[in-house]
Amino acid sequence: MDEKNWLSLLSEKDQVNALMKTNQVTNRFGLALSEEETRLLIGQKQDVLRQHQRVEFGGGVLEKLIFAFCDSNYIRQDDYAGTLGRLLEIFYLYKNESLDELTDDELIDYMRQAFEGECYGSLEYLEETCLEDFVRKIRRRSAHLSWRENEDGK
Amino acid sequence: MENNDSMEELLPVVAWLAQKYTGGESSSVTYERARYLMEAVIYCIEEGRKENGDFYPVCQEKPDAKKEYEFGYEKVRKKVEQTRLFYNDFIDDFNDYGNENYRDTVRKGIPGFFRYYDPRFAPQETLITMDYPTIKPINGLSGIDAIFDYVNYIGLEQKFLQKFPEEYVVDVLTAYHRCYQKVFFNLCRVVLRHILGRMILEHPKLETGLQSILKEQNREKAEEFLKGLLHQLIWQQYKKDRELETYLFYEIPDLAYELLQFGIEKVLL
Repeated sequence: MDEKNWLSLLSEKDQVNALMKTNQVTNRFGLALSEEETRLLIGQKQDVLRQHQRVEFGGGVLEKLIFAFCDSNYIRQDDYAGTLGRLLEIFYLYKNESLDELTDDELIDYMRQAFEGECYGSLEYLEETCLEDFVRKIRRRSAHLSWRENEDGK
Repeated sequence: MENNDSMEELLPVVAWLAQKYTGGESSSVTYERARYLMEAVIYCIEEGRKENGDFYPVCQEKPDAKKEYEFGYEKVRKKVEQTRLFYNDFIDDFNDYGNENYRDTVRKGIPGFFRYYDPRFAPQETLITMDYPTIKPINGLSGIDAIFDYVNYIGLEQKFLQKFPEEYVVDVLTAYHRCYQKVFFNLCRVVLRHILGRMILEHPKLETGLQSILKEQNREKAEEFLKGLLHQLIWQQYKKDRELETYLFYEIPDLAYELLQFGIEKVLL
């Protein structure tokens, strides 16, 4: 795979514009991204995708994370970009850990609920405990369903 | 489908396919999945370019990769249907002569392929192991291309075998191996060799002719001789079926080699 995320058809400029537009909504909660922070996030996304050996073919994950977390009680302007970057890492990690059994929306919804609830805003707890437990159940369910399918097929 | 320019052109098609694969519910896939989907796209495009039936001309000035892919995909789907029809044509009369591997492969393995084959997301997958060995091996083919040929070959072999009474075939197979029901081998090959052997023995001149070729250790002449014999058989008993003849000709080189090594009695009877 070459350095660019080869399935993504959006130019960097388009991605920056799309992310900057989210400020129109997040401003209400006192959160906004600068152009510099937006570029850094987009670059970070490419690095994370490469690290987790994933290819993006549609845009929108960053926007989804922004809209899901912008009204969080635990995110402030001074750590906004950094938190988004960490959420992005956690998101792609658990897309892989869940063996792609979770849709983007399902995973983001769970991340938001857990972050705001039992994690009390702790990204470490979200990553290392809540999501671990959640994904383990998903994999167990998936293994059980596969077993059932095999048995039915016999 | 080798150069980087071609691969670049396929990326939007792969992106489209990835979106379809995830039902629009994921914005990313693993590298492994992306490669797999790229293989799927390439498989369909290559199918579309094959010059059998309709084909998508490669020399278009501005090739549209998506259209080329869809064209190839339709060809793959049609090939699956064609193969299924052909299989349904012969399966009712299919005779496994008691051989378990033959039976399992044809009655369970091939239907399994039709049940699970995915022409959209995995056209390159063959899915079954094709344990029963045909006279002409399926080399270098995959997916529906492999199964299309495989089903065709089994159909031809059945056509050959069913000319003879079942008890006769069973006797020949039993003489070949007492427990032939449990052995992995090609039934048609055994019966064909036996029949050719009988033809030679019933005509002393033929036997003399072949013995003299074998003494010379002339492989080319041995192959010519055997092809002539097979041609006679097909013309007289199988209504000059060229397709069957061409298929059974694949047995001749190995047969000629073995005759030169081991003689008529050990190989043909």
